[in-house]
Amino acid sequence: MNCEQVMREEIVEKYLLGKLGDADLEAFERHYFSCDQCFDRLESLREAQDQLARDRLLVSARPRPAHWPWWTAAAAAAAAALLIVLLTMTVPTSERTELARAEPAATRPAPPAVARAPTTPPAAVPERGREPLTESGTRELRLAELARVGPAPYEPVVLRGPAGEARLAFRTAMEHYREGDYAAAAEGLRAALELDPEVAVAAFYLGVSELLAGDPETAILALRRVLASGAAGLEEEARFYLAHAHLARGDAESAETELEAVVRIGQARAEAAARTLAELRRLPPAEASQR
Amino acid sequence: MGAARLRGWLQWGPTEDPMPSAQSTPPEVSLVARIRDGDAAAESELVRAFELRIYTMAVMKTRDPEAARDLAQDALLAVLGALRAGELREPTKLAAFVWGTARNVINDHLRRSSRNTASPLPPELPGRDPSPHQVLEAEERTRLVQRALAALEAKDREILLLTLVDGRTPAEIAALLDLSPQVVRARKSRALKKLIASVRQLSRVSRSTPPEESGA
Repeated sequence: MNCEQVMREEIVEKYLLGKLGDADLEAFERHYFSCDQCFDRLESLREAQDQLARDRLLVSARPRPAHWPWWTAAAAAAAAALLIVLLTMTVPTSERTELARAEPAATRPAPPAVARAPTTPPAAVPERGREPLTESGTRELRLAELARVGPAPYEPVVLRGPAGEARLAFRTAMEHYREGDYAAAAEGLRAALELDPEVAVAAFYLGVSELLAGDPETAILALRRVLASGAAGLEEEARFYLAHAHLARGDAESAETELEAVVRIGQARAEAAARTLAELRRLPPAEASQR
Repeated sequence: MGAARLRGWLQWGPTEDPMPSAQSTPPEVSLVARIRDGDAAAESELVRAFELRIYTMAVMKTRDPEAARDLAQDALLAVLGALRAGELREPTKLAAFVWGTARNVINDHLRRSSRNTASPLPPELPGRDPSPHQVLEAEERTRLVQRALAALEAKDREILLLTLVDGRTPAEIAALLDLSPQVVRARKSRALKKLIASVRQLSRVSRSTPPEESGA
């Protein structure tokens, strides 16, 4: 078999569809082991086949109502890191004591009772025979899907010694957070920050709460504040949620920047960030328009 | 993997039909010689040159990406073992040799699978982790194909979907889309040409002039 035959007889297409006879199959496989050009054609069409099949699944999916049913399976180490930051930021040196965990607290808060709709509505499902979903519709739908994220884990600790006002306000707000009432949590966390603006972990959970309550713009402000504070142990989480806030606003470029940073940090969120990044890079370009 | 079993695969041997040589493959002769001399870098080079081809063939035959990854490793280990032992008599036929060995490994697996015989996991290959260049190439191809598909007219994309995913003939597509079969063939040909031309921006595909596509 040679390249001309491959082209003339649409061998690559037939190979991908399993329509070659045994002799042609063997001949083509031998051929592409030494022909970069035909192998490249095969890989390109195989990739196109995958993407077309995936896009069809995407546009065939029934539009789902907005909700946030997912829970991150974050390791206890991530929660512990957040707790350590909480103590170092909120407990004055004179009050700093050993940590003691509370009786097992849920790391999987109840689903939110109320969730605002995402900023981008899902696109309509096209019917067979009509024009398929536009590239911009597909992109918006995928960005909205990629934006979905579960709450950052939180496990309360029992501290000896009196708690300051800011810490009390924080603790109350986090009770709402654990119950899944993110709007109430956000309000309480804002109050805690007014009492003590230096509490980076409160700013972090404020950002997460605002995002889960459907306000990605405010979430971005809060999470950027966390990054600006340089709080140790919070950078990966803050960037991870910042990426999802950007996705919720449809800003893929900013999301990509944050996801790349999370991958570089290489800790608990790296794998999830890499997966989201790969999905993001498969989206049609923003400049594609309806034909 | 026993020596006797390996020799069984090597009995396939070179055929009377020599494979196209080196314009698009590494210089086989020096590569084989370096591997025989124990050059680890040469072994990594061979792995990178053939792993994706073997994987593609394996996944097309097994429809199982996980199994295909293991089979690619098995096949490459068999190839490297033979090359280290100097058992490839004609180095210019390296590509054919790799293909034949891989085919035998895959067919062996398919026969074993039908008898539900488990096989041990293969040891790690040299150069097994994809290089940053390979990762970038794979990502780049995905991106280029995505863009090329997005740049097609919706009807042309639908034709490609019906062709590549559903396996429909031009006549069937014509009936579905209310076009003539000739128009479907012409549009399909043009869409494929555009797709391949877009993806050929990859720098490594620059060695030979592609044959022109026939058809309107």
